[in-house]
Amino acid sequence: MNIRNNIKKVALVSLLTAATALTPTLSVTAFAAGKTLVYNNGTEPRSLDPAKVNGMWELNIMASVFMGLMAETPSAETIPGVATSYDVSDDGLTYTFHLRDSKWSDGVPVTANDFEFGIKRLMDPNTASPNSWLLYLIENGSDVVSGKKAPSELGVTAIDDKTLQFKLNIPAPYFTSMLVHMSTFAAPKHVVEKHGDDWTKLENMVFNGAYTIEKWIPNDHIMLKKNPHFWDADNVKIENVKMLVIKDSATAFKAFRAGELDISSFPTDQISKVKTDYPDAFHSYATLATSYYSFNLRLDKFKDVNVRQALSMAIDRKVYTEKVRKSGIPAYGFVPTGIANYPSPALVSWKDKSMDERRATAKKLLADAGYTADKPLELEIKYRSGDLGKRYTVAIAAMWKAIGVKVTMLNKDSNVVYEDYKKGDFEVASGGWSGDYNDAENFLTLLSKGAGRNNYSAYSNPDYEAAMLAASKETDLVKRAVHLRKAEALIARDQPVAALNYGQFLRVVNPKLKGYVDNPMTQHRFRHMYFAD
Amino acid sequence: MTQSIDIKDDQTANNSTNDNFVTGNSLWKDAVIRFYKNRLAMTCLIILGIITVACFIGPYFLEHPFDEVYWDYIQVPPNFEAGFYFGTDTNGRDLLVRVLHGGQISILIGVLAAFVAILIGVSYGATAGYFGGRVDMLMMRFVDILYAIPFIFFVILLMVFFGRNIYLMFIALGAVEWLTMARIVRGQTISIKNKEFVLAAKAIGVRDGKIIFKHIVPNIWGLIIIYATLLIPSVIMTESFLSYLGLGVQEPNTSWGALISEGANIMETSPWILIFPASFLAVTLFCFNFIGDGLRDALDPKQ
Amino acid sequence: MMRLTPGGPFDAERVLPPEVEKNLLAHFNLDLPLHEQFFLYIWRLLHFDFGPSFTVVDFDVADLILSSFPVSLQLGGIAILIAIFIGCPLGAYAAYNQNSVKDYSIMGFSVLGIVIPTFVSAPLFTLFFGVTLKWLPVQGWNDGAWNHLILPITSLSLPYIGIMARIMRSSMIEVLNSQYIRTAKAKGLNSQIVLFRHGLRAAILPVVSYLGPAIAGIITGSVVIERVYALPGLGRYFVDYALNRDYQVVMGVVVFFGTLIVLMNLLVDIAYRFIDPKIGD
Repeated sequence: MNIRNNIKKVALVSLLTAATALTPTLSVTAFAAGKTLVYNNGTEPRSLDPAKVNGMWELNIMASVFMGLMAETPSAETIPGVATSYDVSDDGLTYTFHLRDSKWSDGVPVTANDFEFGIKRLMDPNTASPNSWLLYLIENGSDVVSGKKAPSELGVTAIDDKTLQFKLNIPAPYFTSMLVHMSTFAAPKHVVEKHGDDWTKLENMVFNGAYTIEKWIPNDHIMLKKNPHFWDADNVKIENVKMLVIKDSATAFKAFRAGELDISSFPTDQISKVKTDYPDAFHSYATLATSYYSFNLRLDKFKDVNVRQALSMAIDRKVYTEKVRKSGIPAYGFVPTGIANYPSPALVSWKDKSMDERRATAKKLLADAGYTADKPLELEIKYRSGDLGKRYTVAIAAMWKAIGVKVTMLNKDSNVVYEDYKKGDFEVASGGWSGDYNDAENFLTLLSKGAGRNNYSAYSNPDYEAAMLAASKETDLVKRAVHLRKAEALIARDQPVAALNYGQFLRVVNPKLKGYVDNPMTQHRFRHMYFAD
Repeated sequence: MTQSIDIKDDQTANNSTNDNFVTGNSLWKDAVIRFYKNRLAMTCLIILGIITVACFIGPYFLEHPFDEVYWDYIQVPPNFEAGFYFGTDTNGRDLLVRVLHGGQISILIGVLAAFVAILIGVSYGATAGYFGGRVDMLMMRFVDILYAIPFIFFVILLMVFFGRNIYLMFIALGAVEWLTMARIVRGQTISIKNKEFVLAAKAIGVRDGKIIFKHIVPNIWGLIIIYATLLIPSVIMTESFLSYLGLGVQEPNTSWGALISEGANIMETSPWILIFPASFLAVTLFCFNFIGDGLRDALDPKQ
Repeated sequence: MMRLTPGGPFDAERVLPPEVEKNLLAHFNLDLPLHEQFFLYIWRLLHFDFGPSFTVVDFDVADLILSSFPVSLQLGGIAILIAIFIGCPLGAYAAYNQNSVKDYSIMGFSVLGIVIPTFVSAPLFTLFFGVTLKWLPVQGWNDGAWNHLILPITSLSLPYIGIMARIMRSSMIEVLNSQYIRTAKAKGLNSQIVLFRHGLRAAILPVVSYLGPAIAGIITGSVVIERVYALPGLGRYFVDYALNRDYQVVMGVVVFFGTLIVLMNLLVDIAYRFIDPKIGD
């Protein structure tokens, strides 16, 4: 650091208050429009190794620099990617993919072996991937992760350089849509075997996606550059993408307004301001996500279904989404509306009753359960610290107070709260789930035994398990939907969780940036975008 | 308020026995008179008194309870017809009553944590500085170690061992805020411990403890008071972080720190949620600072 | 000690299946008994190896600290220098004009700087100078370009200016009223010279005591400033990474910060002797 420079800076800073005179000489760093896309990724990636990450922000990077067997259209429909086509066996358990000619960014061809290697590496316990559980549907998947079987026994085989075969445990109709996820990407065998864990060092790393990573300054930015070896490089219009890590959405939105960002989130509090001031930039659409409250069924007070129903129906979801959250869609069922392969969801019976009626019924149900004004139901909501969590919790507590429930609120920092949820140490937990793939099963499985400790409520119902099992074995999509609906109807009846709202995705996007198409999976690839002038 | 009077009392008693050019009780009286004469300090004392009384008694006289949610008035600016003179917060609760309610904990914690910091910091720093040498070295390295302990883990561990407890909050804050106080007091002690009056006291065989608390500390009261007033804002704001970790106030209770940090996030859309609690805090802190100045002047026997 | 705190580095909204969690813990040796983990850590530390971070696995803790320290050092260093060179003269000037309008207005501004939390002032600055006037960038480090530094440094230094001025004023008043200054004045020495030769030296002592911990604190970053201006400084490691239970990173910064604190306080002790040669044992 140059001292003379610093003195200059000191002088400048002290002049700040009288800076009016200086205005013409000061200018904001200008981003050359149409050249570099500046995107706020919000959070720092844990790693550049697609096998070691599982966050949405990490998928934004990984899906830009790698491409899987399948790829997504601008509206997130699944189309062939590195594969050109695939065959499915009649029982829906064997998938065979045919690969196109494509290259890693060092010019080495991408082969089926790289995919086999990448997926087996992911499932190897030594890799310690947080994503491995996603691929339990591949034959021997869970046994490989728990170390009972060797990775070589996993049901994925490269038949030749251009053909890859998967063997599955269940006929999952969503399998091809999972292949756009980073957990199924190829790993460059020639590089990983040479450098080991150091293969993600930028000087060693190679990519097969639309972009390569030029630079990574931790907690500052990641710079992407167009990959000339990408098989579809001709259709990639934006040369450089700068991915920032602005954590604070208020700062990000200010940066957007100052012209420093092209795509940004904004604080939900400012939604009406954004709508009026930036109508061209405003994007808002429903996503596959549900927020819900879990009642701890291990506790006696929540064993009575009347109590759970009363608590659930006392929540005014309309007020909650409109006035408190200022975003989101009221939820009366557990599965978000509009999800694939699931035309008619099973909702709660009191959905269309007025709030007054519902409150009266709730009070009666509580009285039936033995709770009166003299001996009210007492419960505690445990939630994660933060202004928004606090606001939501206070609102729900007030709604429950209206039916005579005595609510206490307890906040702790998120890691402690999640550990408590995991251990079942809570009364009412605040949960949320966003879909990994576009299928109702991904949500409903949360309340089954298979979800393990993600089933915070510890809901356990043999009928429910039976419906889910029948659905997983069914290859006919219509019949499958019937089984899933049966499961959701049980949730509507038993209310182990009270669904509050479905997700709504909010962004501001530079109006000059085209190719950003709203889609419920919230997937937006830079390779589809371009600047219009 | 009782606290500041205690200090005066203590201080004057000390001075009256030690300072050779002032005699009898006149100094204590002088100090009080000097303080009364200081118009700025007196005004601040009165304002602070009003704020304190308002915070502790006011909520009982207002029409809205501090935890009542009004669904029709969520996040509305000041509205006189409905009786929301400061507007409502993001949950539709009356901001006026919440600001007053929040002041209870914030004023209390500001004064108490500053008191704890003075108590520990002054005795520790003066002792280390007075004895010097190896004692000083060891005591100060201990302070350095405490500086380095991450506050978050310290707080969470406190909760693990002692459970959630409002008193723990005072301990947690006092325990970190005394460190710098100790360093400052130590520095001053080193610089005056070789002065004539200390050496004289030593020569006639006054005990070390007595020298420290009757001869050295009274001579640096001014600085201690000023630093204590500087501590108060940081204590009040740190409290809201304690709440984040689960220690400290929990909803529906609140504090100025919590109100301000929430308001800061939404200042663009609902500035009143920031402005009202922030002005209460600012006025209170101004008062503390100018009362501190007044006390300092009043207690300075050389003026 | 940190490992006793509840919540683990891999506790998130999505609970991982037990076997996946087990593989992860094993990968970072977190499944070993606590004492073995401790010895392993000390062993590594003796080789200057802080180990990998849990939250950013591609980087070693040492890399993270080394890449972000220059940012914090530059911001904090300039901010503290400004605080000293503006705060101390202001305080001395106020003391010299004790209880005058000048004194009150200087103190008023100082207290204002102290009472406005940085998480209020910093967003206001960005809103005004960045969004409304568009003079200065709102966020980012940009390799330390000067226009990216102005706002963060201003918000960082304001409270310190206030604190310096308050401490300086109080100790200066004490010194001005002390007998030797009075004697010197009585002897007819020029008051300006008296003020500088004798007064400033004695009066700066408490400021110096305060500076030790303050410098160590400010150059290891401020989490609020880094968050509001999205800067890649060290401060986040003390809060965000501690909240994420990234023990490795936190241990690293603790060792780093501890060393810095000891170093700064040693410097302060040496400074005492320069300022006042009578100090000693």
